[in-house]
Amino acid sequence: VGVIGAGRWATAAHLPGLTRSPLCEVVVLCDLDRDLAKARAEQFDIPEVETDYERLLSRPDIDVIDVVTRGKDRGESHQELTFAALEAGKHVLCEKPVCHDYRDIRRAHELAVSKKLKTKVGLTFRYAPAVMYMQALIADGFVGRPFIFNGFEQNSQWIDPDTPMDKRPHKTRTEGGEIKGHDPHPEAIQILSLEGYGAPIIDIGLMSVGSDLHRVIGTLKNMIPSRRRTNLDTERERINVDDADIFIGECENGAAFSVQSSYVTVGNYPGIEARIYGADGALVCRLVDEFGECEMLHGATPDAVEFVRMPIPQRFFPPGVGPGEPWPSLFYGNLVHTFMQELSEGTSANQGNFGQSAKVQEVINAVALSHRERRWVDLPLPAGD
Amino acid sequence: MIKEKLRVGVIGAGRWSTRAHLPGFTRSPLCDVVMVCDLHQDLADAAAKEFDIPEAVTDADKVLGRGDIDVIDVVTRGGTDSHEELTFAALAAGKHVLVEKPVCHDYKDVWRAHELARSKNLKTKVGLTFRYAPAVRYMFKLIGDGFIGKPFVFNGYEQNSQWLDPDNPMDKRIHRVRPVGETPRGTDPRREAIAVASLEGYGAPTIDIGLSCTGSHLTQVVGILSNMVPYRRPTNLDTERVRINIDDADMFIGECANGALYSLQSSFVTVGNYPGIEARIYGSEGALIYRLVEEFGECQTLRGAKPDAVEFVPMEIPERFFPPGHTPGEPWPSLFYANLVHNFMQEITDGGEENQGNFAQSAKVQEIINAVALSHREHRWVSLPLDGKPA
Repeated sequence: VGVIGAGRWATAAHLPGLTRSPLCEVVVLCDLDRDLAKARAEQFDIPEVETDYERLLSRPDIDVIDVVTRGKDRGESHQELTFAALEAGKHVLCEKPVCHDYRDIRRAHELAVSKKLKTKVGLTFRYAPAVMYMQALIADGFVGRPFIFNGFEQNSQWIDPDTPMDKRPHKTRTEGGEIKGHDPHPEAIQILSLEGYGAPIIDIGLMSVGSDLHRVIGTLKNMIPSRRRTNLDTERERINVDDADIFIGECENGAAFSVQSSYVTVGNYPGIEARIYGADGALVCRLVDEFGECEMLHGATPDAVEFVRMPIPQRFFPPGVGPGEPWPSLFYGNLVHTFMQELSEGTSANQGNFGQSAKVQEVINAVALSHRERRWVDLPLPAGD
Repeated sequence: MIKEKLRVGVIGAGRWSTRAHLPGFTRSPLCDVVMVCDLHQDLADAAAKEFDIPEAVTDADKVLGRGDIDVIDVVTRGGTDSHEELTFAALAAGKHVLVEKPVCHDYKDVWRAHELARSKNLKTKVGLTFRYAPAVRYMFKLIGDGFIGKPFVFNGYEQNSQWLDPDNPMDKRIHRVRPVGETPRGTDPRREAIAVASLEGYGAPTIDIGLSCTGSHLTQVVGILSNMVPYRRPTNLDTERVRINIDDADMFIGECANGALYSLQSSFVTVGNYPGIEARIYGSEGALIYRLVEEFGECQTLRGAKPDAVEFVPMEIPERFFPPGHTPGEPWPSLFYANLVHNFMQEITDGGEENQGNFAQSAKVQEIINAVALSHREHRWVSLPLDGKPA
């Protein structure tokens, strides 16, 4: 495996996951910042570091590329790196969003399929042991015909207006680049929470109801209108981004669907909750770090309506799990190991791949359109839209 | 000056009357129930005996015609227009009125009733039970004190599995003979013709609480009404299930005048225990979540978090938010209703302007219900206020 990106999320989630799977070895770590790459390579016992991703992609002894870059600066775009890695014939794990337009993700998916490559997107939370167990229970018929799905991803990461919009600690001001949220009109709001926070819970929702969304309508809000743009700014300025949103939808199979995402709602990380109610039972899964626990699954049935906690069987935990392990490496350990298993076994199994991510991104794009045009939007979106 | 106790006449002696209303009245030190009325004499007699009420009658006009009665409580079970009819009659007779929801199915009628009451200096109260739960009253107090700051998001739920079983009859009344002269509901199976059931019966109290939590009113709503269990026995006398197109699960989202986001979900086919209320309010300074769900001996919890203490902790509800005569482990219907009734008796006795949860508030809630139903039928956002009298 070659990893591109050695920042915070690579360190907290990806590298611990990759280094503990018995099915792979990380051979090169690549980052524009050589010092950072070196420090992390030392920490995770990775033999080589690199600053040029093209050199990494040209190595024939690498099977899998992991794209976990932080931003959109030149040479760090998920989309650009993903297409380049697929062109080079590598299986690809990529952090979300792979691309901002679902049609680009679908193109990447088709490219991968045409080259018999497997893909995986950092839809972290579907790999939480509690969520994996929840999905196994749903598949076994625990909820029966699904009626309602409610999803949340929310925490207070940006509730303080002095927390800079851009999380990266800059030493110098970067010139050029995209300026987020400069148009203050409600319909011009820049998509942020819905994409960054909403994606994993939309993904879990689609899995839980076992159906596609048929139409959606939502509203995107900017609760904290003025904020510091970067760590170098001392003044707050008007930044019109979506920091809280809700949408509802109707599924092909008749289930009702809702998702709320926000990074200005008081609560701890990661802040995921998924509830599914059906004809034969209900399951509520919470991934919220509270008082030393980061995941919980509760269930109820028509003849036992008080929700009881359901212990998660050991088989849903990743290799090498320890008690009290932090959620990023716990969930990512499952994600990475699942991907390595899918690659090693060579069957057609490939959950949470670019195909699924394109579907999630299409929902995000449709919700954004429904907000801008104040109307229900049907799915799938018209091909030329 | 020691005021005489208020004299109350109760119309309706069914299950909700005997579980919630009558226990509430009999423990408030401010009133006496002097008459109970039910179409079934045996139910009226049983209630009179159980709650020590001097008179039991079957004719509502007898209650309304009594000059010595100050307050009428309308807690009849069925008959689509009976709440509305009895409410207007009681107001016309110069009585303060407590009525179970819905007062009327059209918010404009609720508004008319409100104006009639005002013109006669009468106070009104609607059975918006859950705003009187001790946990909710404490939550309102905390919000009033600034605990959450500027409100960002409200999420409300009322859901349980009361009608999950399709053999559970739509009509909860126990009929001995088939009812005559009642129009069956939900006979038109088209999506846009769905009859409103859960949204009104289950949604109303939580819509009400949401308005109080955000301290604002809704400017736009859009929602969906679903019928998840399409076939059901209409009454206890039926052996076959028939297609009944009513909303048994619904969700809507809305925008508040103050910028807050608002969502609500109600359903009586989602697995879970009674009453099944949950409300969450998130703001710039904190968040509060209450649950009124009977689980493992507890029927209410309130939890809070702050930006610098993001893990939600249980908040103990101070004694002053409980009704007179509260005992630990008391069932929620009488616990919450005792607060409702006692609060109404205090408002009437005190004689001030105070009159929370009155017909005006109910008209506002009903207007939202009507707007959401319209948004479903026309598949679009609906702006509030609707065309009628602004609520």
